[in-house]
Amino acid sequence: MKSEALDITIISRGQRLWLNFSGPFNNEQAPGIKEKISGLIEDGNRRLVVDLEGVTNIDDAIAPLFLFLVNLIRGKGGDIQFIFKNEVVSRAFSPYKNLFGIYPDALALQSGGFFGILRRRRRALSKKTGVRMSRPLALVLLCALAGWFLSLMFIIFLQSRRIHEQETEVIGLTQWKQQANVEIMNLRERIRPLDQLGILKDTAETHERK
Amino acid sequence: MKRNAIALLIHPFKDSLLPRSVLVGRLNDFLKTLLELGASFQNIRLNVVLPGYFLELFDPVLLLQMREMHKRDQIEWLLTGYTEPFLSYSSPWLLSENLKYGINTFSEFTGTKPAGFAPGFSNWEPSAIDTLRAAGIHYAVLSKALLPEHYRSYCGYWMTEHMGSSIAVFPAHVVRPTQAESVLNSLDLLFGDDRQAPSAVKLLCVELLYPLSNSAEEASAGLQIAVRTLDKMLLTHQSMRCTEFFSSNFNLGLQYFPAGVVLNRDDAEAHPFFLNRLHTYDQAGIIQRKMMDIADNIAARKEAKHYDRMKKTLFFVQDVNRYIPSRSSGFTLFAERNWCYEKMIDIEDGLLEKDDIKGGQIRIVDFLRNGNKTIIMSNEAMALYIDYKNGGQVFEMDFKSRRCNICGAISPHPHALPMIIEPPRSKTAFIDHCMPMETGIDEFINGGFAQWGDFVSSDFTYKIKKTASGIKTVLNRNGSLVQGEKTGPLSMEKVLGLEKDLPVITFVYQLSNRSLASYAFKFAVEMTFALSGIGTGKVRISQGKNIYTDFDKRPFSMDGVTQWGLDDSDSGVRIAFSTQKPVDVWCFPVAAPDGSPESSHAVSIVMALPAALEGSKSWSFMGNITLKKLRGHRKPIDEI
Repeated sequence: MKSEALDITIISRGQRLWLNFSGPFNNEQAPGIKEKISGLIEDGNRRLVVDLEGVTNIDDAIAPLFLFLVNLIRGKGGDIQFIFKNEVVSRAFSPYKNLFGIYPDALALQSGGFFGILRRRRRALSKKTGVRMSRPLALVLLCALAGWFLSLMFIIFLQSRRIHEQETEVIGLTQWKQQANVEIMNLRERIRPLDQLGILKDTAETHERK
Repeated sequence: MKRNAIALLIHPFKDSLLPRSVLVGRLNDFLKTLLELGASFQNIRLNVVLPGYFLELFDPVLLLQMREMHKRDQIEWLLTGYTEPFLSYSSPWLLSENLKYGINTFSEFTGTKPAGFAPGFSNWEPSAIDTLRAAGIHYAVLSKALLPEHYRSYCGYWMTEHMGSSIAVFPAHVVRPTQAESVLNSLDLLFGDDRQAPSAVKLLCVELLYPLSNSAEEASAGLQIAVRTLDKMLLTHQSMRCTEFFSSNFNLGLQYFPAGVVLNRDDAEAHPFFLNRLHTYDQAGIIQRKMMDIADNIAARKEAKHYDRMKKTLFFVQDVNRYIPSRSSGFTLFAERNWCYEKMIDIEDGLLEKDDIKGGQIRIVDFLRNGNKTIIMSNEAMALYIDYKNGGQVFEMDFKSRRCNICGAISPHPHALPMIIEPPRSKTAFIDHCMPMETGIDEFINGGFAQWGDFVSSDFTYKIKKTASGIKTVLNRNGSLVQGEKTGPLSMEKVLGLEKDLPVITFVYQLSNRSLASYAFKFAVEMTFALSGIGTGKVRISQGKNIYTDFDKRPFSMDGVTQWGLDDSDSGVRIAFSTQKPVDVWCFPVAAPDGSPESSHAVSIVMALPAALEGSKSWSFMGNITLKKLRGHRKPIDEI
């Protein structure tokens, strides 16, 4: 009866074949499981994911069994990835942990670039909020959002250009002012001797007196 | 003067499925009768027992008046759960959810929580005490038939305990409307039977059943008579709610109530071994196992709030009425069985969709909970349940587009021992016979042939295969075959597969003779299909241009065919067969447990062909079964 205690579920998700095990994993089950997984590898399945999170007890012959299967599939250009974080399985796999690809959960395992991240985020948010959106509606909302962003960017661009022009104008005026100051100083220097001789009347003082 | 107390419980119930509109009408009629009685007899206290879903169907205006009655302390609410759960047949999680949902429904619709629990058919399970206490239930009302005989005359309430938890139990006289008057008129005798101290106030619980399925007028009249009779007795007896007595009187003592069911809904006799009886039938166990499998699946999910609709549906499948075999209700009736499968296949489909599973799925789990694994192969279109330890038979075949289990037939004979399925007595599919060459349809139907092989109920080994083209289970057995007076070795490889996401079952048999002697026998594959149109004249077999009917009423055979189909216009299902070699097809109706072929809605189809194997040679037979939707099927069931 011990050999009947383990529950197995085999499902396809994308390109991967997932094998979920739950219940006690005893040595008596090792030959049967080895035969089943070897059969699946022979059927052409090359990317396997073995989820052992539901395993409640694991005997010492199980980790070497998976080592054999990992070697077998790697020899055929495939790989087996493992999902578990429970203490019982972690302890059994600890001597071989550098040889296996072990992930704490399904989310950590899944990768697929930017779109993969988006897809997972979508699923997580959908599960969290309970809101599901149809593709056409999502596309319309995306277009509206993109349009809003483009308008915003255009306004920012126009304002930035205007600021830039004003800045250029201010710089030009400042430079003109500085040049004018220098010129005035030069002219003052030139008329200073005449002023000192009293030939020139100080127009500014006369103006103040008035 | 000491006045003994009477707690009158009114328990409207329905055993069978009823159309929603009919049920709503009868429930509102019941409520009107109750309100009239409440207004006319204001000194009478009533205890009303209801499942939570009845409250959702009541007219809100009438319910508002009931609230007023409750405020005047005229009534006390008791619940059976959200539905009427079968305690012994439910997982603690599912029972707890059912009770919680029921209590929340009561709070929402009546503005108060129910005080007590009164299970349908007094089905009791001591281990449920914990769940009841956790749900805030203070007492239970059970039929006094569950008590040992010499305690049945005591008037009061008992405490019962199990594994450290305890709850008060009121034993009740469960009576039908027609019996109410006579029971109430004999109250003095009933109180007199109780020989406890004369100073103590005694309480007698009378649970008056109010059938909603039929005879509503009789029930209404019975209720009115009971209340009037009680009103006349108010000088000598006091009418009470259970809680009133519970809070002001001490219990009679500790009493163990064993698990059991009171089938007749009166005080006849309890059935403590009812589950054993239930497991001598087909299908009851499969329906319950399927329900438990789904419940475990939902319970393991984190975002519980997203599965409320599914849970609610499952509560109806959990209803005790689906599991009590009777003429008018229960799993022995095809319609009720089909209704349960329809609901559960719908939930399973929803769960698969949420899991985002594409392509086929294989599960090797202890589905039947008998210590042996079941291989469950499923894709988007269908699911096959294979019991590899019992002849590799298929005991469930779900066609998801029509939400039906086409293998849900029930055997006309009970099992020899309590078990979920018993080959070959159970009417399942892919049962393999090796018979003498001269065996014909008549011998097969009468069982008058020798079983030469040992493949009918023996265990197979299995392998699973998952490829791009689909999923397969390869079953192997090194068996034996009787040839003359000798027994020789014969190996069978039986491959059952599902193609991608299509409703197509492929089957391949390869028989290998491992001896030097030659074998000659007739090989037959038997499968039984249950469809709503069988027995009603809405099924036909088509083979080429030939159309055959009436095979659901009398045996029928076709010789040397390779393609034929079974069409049921009622359920909208076509089962198309295709074989590589010509076969003789034998069709015959399967009788229901009551003996009538019409009510079983099942027909057996046997594919028979001669097999000749020379020494060390192999012989093979292959084909496929395709399920298709037909137009014009019956309307969806809106029954509850």
